[in-house]
Amino acid sequence: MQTNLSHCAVGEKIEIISIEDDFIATKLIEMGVTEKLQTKVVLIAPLGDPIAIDINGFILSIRKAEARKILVKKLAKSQNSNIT
Amino acid sequence: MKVALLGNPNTGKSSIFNLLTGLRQQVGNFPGVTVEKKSGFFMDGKERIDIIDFPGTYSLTPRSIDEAVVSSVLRDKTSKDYPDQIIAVVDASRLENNLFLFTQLYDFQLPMVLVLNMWDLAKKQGISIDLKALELEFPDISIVTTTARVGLGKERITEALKKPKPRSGRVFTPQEGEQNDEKTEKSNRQSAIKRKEKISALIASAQTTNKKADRKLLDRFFVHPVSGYLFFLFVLLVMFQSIFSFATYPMELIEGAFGFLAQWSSHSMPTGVLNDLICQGIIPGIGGVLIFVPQIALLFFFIGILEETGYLSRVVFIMDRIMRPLGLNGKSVVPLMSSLACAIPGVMSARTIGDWKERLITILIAPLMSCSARIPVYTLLIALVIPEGYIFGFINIQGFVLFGLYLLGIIGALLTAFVLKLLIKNKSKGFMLLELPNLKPPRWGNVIYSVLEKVKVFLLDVGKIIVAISILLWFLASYGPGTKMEDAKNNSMQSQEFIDASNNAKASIKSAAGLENSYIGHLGKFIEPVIKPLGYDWKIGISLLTSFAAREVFVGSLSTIYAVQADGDNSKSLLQSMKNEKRPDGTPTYTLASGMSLMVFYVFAMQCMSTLAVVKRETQSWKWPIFQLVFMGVMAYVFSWLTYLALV
Repeated sequence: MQTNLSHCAVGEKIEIISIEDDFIATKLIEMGVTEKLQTKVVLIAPLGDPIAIDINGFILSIRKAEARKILVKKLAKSQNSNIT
Repeated sequence: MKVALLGNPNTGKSSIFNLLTGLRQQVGNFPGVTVEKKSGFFMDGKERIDIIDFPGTYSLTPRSIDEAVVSSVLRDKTSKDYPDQIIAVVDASRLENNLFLFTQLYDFQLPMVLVLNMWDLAKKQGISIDLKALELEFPDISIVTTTARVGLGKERITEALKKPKPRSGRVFTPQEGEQNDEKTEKSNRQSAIKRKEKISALIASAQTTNKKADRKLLDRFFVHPVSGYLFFLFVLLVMFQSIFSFATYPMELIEGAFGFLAQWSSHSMPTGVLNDLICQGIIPGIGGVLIFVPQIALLFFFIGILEETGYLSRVVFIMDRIMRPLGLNGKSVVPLMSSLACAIPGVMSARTIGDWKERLITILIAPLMSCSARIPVYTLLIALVIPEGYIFGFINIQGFVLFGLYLLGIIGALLTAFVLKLLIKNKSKGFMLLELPNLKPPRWGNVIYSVLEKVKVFLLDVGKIIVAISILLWFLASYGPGTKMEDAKNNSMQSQEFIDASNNAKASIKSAAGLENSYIGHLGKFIEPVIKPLGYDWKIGISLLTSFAAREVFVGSLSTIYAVQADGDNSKSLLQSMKNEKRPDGTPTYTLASGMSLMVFYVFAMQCMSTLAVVKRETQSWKWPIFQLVFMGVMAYVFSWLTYLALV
């Protein structure tokens, strides 16, 4: 299922499909968020914003406004095996 | 030799810096910007090796001020900070993410040492790095491993620095050799993708991971809607309480010591102008600087722990959404809360806020939080004009007013933040990508270093301004135009009241006459028409002016003006003289209206030269402290005027 990062729940495994904004995309790539990266949402702040994802043990907090620009695919549970 | 220390945030870069330089550290700013520059040195035989600790960044693409500083220094060979060598620190347990900055640095062709820090942590997490493969990819630099947290690897770095390998011209991503700011976002993105792909390929061959399950339970607790905020509240309470209570002992000690020193030296030196200058101007001035040190040290001790453990970024995570509409940042909470004890460490702690606009707003509103120096003013005035008693039988009226004053300050601060958010232009885009580093026990060495650094900055950079202003204030209060002051003192001695008075009372009558006729006394009378609408007379005017040195001076000045005798129960007799004080028309000076108006004035007014000095230091210009002085002054005037009108 395709959606954006702001619509994911804690613990959901996802794969990043594309990032809309070139500026944000560059910044995210520099911090390790690339297209095709498989990751999961690890924490969501009390008011639903910001959202933190796990990039191979590196936890990155992203504000909802930026999360909306990140298109993701929710992965079925059976595909989890290759995620660390 | 100059060496630049570079790396991502949270890689243990500061541990390495402390390890290499020890106490031979200096803090300053990069020219023209408010980015902190830490530098230090160590001796290699006769050669001095200077280390410049650059701010931690994730890349060299100049987006934030920090990144702009790093990239402009490295691109400008004429810069005075341009290094001869680079030490690049990476976290070995997160090599892939850290290689982005490292490979950018590699392409600069400067001799380089790659430090794989946190080597033990990587091992513990089941990560093994093939150093041979890295050396094959980067053959013309030195690669060393360290665990700086426990002090391991210092020699390996210094050995590598002593024998720099010549660069062969090899680059990691050739097309990016000449990067510049004019590149479009699209091409930036393209080259970032290329670099990242190459790094992934390198990691695939150089690193094997056998990772264990994650440990996020504690994080769930820290960011939980209930336990998260409760725990943060608890942390604030402990911090605030300690700053508030523990700091008083050393503060009293400093106060007493300087009082003694002033008295002792005034007796042991020949009387005259020089004696007065030293004993009434300089010594109290220096004491007035040192008095802040306990609070600053305590606050930065706690903040150091919060930063070191990684908890501070969790605070930002849960507070960000709440503070954002006000133009603030999750990190603004700590500076604002500590300003309830004292705005000086509060303003200094705003340094942790990365975004300049959010940091500036935090600094500008911090002094609106009621600090502990306002307490003597509040309590005196409350005792004077607010009746004792209870509302609804259980709410103490005087306590309620005190609470209201604090609340007024907090609300004023938040509303001002909102207005400033609309007024101040934003240079940076309002995004925030924040790393939540692994939670870990604090490295006490780093905590202590950061405390020492802040105290040093305060004493050296801020202290001199405070001493200068306090000498000026002393001069204005001790000297007057022409011979008026002496005449007034002599005249006061002719009065019947003086002749009847005891020796102590004689001295206080004389000093009251002196202060009235000093420059500041004249100034107080001069501003009387301006402050009259607020319900104040010239005597209050003088006290407002003198308390610019520090708010609590207000009480002392009033005692002098009302010629309250120094002996006996001081506050009681001051209270009595204030109660008896009459206007020319015979009505009491201190009524509910004028008293409340005065309290509101102290809630908002920037009556603190030390805060102005520290704001100047932190914003690197006089523009912002002056702006602050003016807008807080206007707020104070307008609101106390309204208060007076409403109550009179």
